[in-house]
Amino acid sequence: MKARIVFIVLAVAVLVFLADQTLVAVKSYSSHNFALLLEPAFAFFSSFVKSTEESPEILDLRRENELLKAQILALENFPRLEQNGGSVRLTAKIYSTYPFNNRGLVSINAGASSGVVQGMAVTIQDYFLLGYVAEAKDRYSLVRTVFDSGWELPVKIGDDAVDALFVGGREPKLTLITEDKEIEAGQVVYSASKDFPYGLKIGEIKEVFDGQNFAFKEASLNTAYPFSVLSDAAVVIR
Amino acid sequence: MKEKLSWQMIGAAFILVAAAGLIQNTDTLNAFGIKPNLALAVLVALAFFITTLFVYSALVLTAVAFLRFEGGFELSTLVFAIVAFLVFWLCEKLPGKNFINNILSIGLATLVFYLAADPAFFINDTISVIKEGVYNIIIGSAVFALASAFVYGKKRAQF
Repeated sequence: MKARIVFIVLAVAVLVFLADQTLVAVKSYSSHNFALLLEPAFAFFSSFVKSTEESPEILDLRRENELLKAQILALENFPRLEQNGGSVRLTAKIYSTYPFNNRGLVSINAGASSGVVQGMAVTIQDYFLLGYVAEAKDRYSLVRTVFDSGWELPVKIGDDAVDALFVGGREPKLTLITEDKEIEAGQVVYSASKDFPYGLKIGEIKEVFDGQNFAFKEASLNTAYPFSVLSDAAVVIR
Repeated sequence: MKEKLSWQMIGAAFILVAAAGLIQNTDTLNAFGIKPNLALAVLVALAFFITTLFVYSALVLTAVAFLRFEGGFELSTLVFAIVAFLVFWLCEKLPGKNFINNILSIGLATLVFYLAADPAFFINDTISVIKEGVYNIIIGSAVFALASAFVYGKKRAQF
């Protein structure tokens, strides 16, 4: 009898624990800081496998990168509103990435209490589309990124604004490109959905697949940023 | 036959699982776009050493706590827990060397996890699942070797 009561109490405790979302924010914060803690160690070991010979351009980029890092450090980590022309953006830290490979979700440290609403566009450095707010909790939000499989978005390609359908995933691709339109590797791909600001860059065409038996072309895509290095995002408030 | 673990070793197992859960929420171990399922690899490897279901359940719950990504119930974390328990049950029944059993279990657990949690991903991106499986096996084997050295000592490592 006693064992049964203990079992029931434990089962209820586990259910409450699983249903409650308070710990998720704490976990995200802890993960973020743990990753920061590990960063120097990984950088130290990776320095052994990297080539020591670097071109002047790389060295310039590295210096510029260091400067940018210093500037970022000087800024507060809390979400803050920034006005750029007519648009207002809320900058936020990317705390946590979805733990499994099948979803391209991230959590950011800005939620409904900071004015974030479901559906808002999320960008990187203001001009690259990262995704949209899938869920706005009080203190954090979940962002569905362009790396989430199954996410489809109307886009345009290059100066000729060729229409295509962007399909998200770990390796995003473009589909439904009509056969008579000329596209080539290196052309810019940008958002053209009514749900997002027009013209946000998503990436560049990597390779075009022109199947003779199909009415449409397909293309693979190089995204504008590698997913693994993302640490900051901006929510487009208006 | 599993040996009874000391409290220090059980404590170390909890720290290992918690650290694995934390790292899995970051892109620290992202290699060529693939993140390992670190928590699953660690739990499967530890299943070959943990003797009691109660301790193992607590380890699984610890991992789930760190892997939860949103409030409420997530299918992925539920499947994760079920797969971890299945391995705990299976590891006693597998014939052959534990080191090989561990490799097989991790590979199988990775496949079953995606098949149950996200069949569409499994079908559309099977290559990624296989790559992750290999990555998980490498990490799980390292954890197994480490745990084996600690539990049985170098001379009696259960390979």
